[in-house]
Amino acid sequence: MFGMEPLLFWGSVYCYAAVTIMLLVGFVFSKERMLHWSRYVLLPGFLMHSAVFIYRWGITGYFPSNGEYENGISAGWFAILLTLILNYKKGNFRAAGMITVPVTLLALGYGYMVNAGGQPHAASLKSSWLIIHVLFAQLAFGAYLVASGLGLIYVLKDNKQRLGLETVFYNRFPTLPLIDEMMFKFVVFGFVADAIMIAAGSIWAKDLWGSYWAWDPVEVWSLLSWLIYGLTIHLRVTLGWRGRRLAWIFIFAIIGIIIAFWGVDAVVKSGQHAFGIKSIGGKVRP
Amino acid sequence: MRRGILNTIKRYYLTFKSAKSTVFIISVLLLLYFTGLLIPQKAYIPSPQAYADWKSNFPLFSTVVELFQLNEIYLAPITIFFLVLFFINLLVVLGHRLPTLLKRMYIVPLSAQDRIALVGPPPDDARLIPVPTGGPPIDETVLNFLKKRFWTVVGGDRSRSFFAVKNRYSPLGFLFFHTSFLLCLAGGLLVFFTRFTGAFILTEGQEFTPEMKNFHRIYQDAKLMKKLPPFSMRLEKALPQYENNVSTDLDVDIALTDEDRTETVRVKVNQPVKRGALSILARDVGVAPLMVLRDRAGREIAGSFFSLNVMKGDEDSFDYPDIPYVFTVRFYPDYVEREGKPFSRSRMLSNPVIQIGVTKNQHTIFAGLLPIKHHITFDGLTLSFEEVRYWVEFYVIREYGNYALIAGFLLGVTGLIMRLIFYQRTLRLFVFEGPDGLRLALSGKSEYYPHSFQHEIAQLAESLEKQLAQKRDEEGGPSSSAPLSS
Repeated sequence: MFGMEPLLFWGSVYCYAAVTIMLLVGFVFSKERMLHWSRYVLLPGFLMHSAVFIYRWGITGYFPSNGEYENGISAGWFAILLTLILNYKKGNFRAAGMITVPVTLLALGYGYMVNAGGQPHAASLKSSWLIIHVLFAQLAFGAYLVASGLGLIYVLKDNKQRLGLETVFYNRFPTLPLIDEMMFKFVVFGFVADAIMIAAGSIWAKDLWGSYWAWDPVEVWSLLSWLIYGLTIHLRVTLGWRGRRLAWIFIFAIIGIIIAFWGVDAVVKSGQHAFGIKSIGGKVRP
Repeated sequence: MRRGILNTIKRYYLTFKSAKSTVFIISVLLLLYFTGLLIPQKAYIPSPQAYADWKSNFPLFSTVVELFQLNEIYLAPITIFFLVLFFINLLVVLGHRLPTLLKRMYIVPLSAQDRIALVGPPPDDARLIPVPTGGPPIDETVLNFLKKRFWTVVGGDRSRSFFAVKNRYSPLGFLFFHTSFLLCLAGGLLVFFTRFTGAFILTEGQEFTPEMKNFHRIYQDAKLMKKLPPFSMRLEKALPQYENNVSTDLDVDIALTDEDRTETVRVKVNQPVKRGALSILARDVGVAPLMVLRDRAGREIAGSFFSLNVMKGDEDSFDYPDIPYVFTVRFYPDYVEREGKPFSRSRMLSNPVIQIGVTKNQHTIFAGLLPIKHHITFDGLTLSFEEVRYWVEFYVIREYGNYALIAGFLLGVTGLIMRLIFYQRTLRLFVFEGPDGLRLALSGKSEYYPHSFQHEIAQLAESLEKQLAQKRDEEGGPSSSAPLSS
């Protein structure tokens, strides 16, 4: 970490931790005020997060995407940005943060634990495709994460309605059809961004590794996640799936994205996305 | 007989055109790709020995896996089978949907249902805008209003009834997206059958011509168009940069002769040299010390640059033909002694020193440090470390089909954006005589978001009502006493 970065980083982490607690309390004990005030804590957290994002970019000279810490910073930034936009444009959707904020908090914590220090910028990452590939990956992640949060709100509200326990608290959220549409919008947004990410990654891989596709575990997970979201769009558009069933899929589909982002690298060290330049043996006599 | 065949084809056609088939096929492919993440794939097992060990450790499991080629799942017959089904499904769905697409782009005349919707009583959710009797005609205002907001009027008499569509060509996105898979398939097949990938290592100063024997490994031989384009190259200079043992840059200058023209070009990581279908990538770099062996009289017995795999601190070895010594090497590019032990401060060639061991008949006869420009003596022979150069491992890749693949990517993304972001909405506006006077009924349909669309309709109705009122005021027509839109 450089200069002011630790202060800003921990500031945002504590804000997100507070927001997570406020959202939890808000939901569990149906405290509307907690949800209302959470946005005023989320905003300064996001501002500090943005400062870390920009500061890191300025200091290193490249888009923050080198290692788990920087991925946590940038992916989380997009997720919180989309949450805030939703918060301020459609206030009654603010509970989407119930998923986006804790996941961002965990991503930041995991990144800090693994490699918060500045890492040299590997030769393999010096490409114009990096920004396109990673930017769209993180936009997709942010959108899917928000869709997942909306899915959670949908299920919670639907549960109450099914049990006939409609409360003032849940009535303040948008109607179920509106939540349903909104989560689909975020999935569509994520799906398009994801497609651009995969296409850009393929083109980049051709120059870096010599082939568009190598069935590397990260590639396969990305493809799987994209296909899962594609399937949900198909289910909705052609088979008319709506509401609860899709909400459950969106809540769990995010796991595939999280595995692609962080899980594979933690388990598989030999994949191409480990980004090292490998060494080989051999003897040549000129 | 003929009818029977036709019925069978029809049955399969009906099966393949159903959305459920698509869902089923994609789900199976998802499952197969997921299996590939659980079962170790041959391509990712580091060595044949490791594979043999795995087989002996799991005899039954490995037999089942090998039987169904689950350890090469991405090209296994079962995967290929479902991919074939996927593309058949794609073609059938495309063929089936084409007439619907044309209809939905309103290239063909409006359907009877759409025409009826422009004259009948307004639907329950219609917004009603008052139209003064005897006032100025509304056609120009409505047409301009819609045009300004990117609505295209495609039906109605355009004076008292209007059928407008936004993102008229959005259904084309379906065609683009699905065709993109076919383009990617064509590109992928071309790449698969014409791809040649071979690797070779050059030390600075060394030349290469693309004869098969000169490749140290051929990863994939072309199944079609086997002949590589003629070229030759010489490695002029390689300069890797390291920071904290991470490779941060690699400049490789090569003199490339291509069609009787020689030019020096720079290859970098992420920046291969491309000549038509041929690309040359720099994939790895290492050091090649020049080791010269001399007899007691100082005559050179043998000498060579040895490309060694030692940059990450690993041990490697070399030998000379017909000379019974094996030399083991650890390499310290930026040597210092730290706590009595050899250590390298960085991977830059600042002070290269070799830690060398000499064995003869598996007995070590010498072990020690050998700095550059120095020599060691053993058994009356001297071995000198005279120079060090870099070696670079290059990949030569020749393949066709890239244009189809890139076109597929572009078409796919364009199709998705057209279909999902710029989705289609339709508006129906018509004047009718209601109990409170003339009204313009405004209703519409959206492909995806009916609830959000109601807000859009409400805003449109409000704006149109204002514009009609403004027009009326400008032209001094009679004012309407009827209530505002519902």
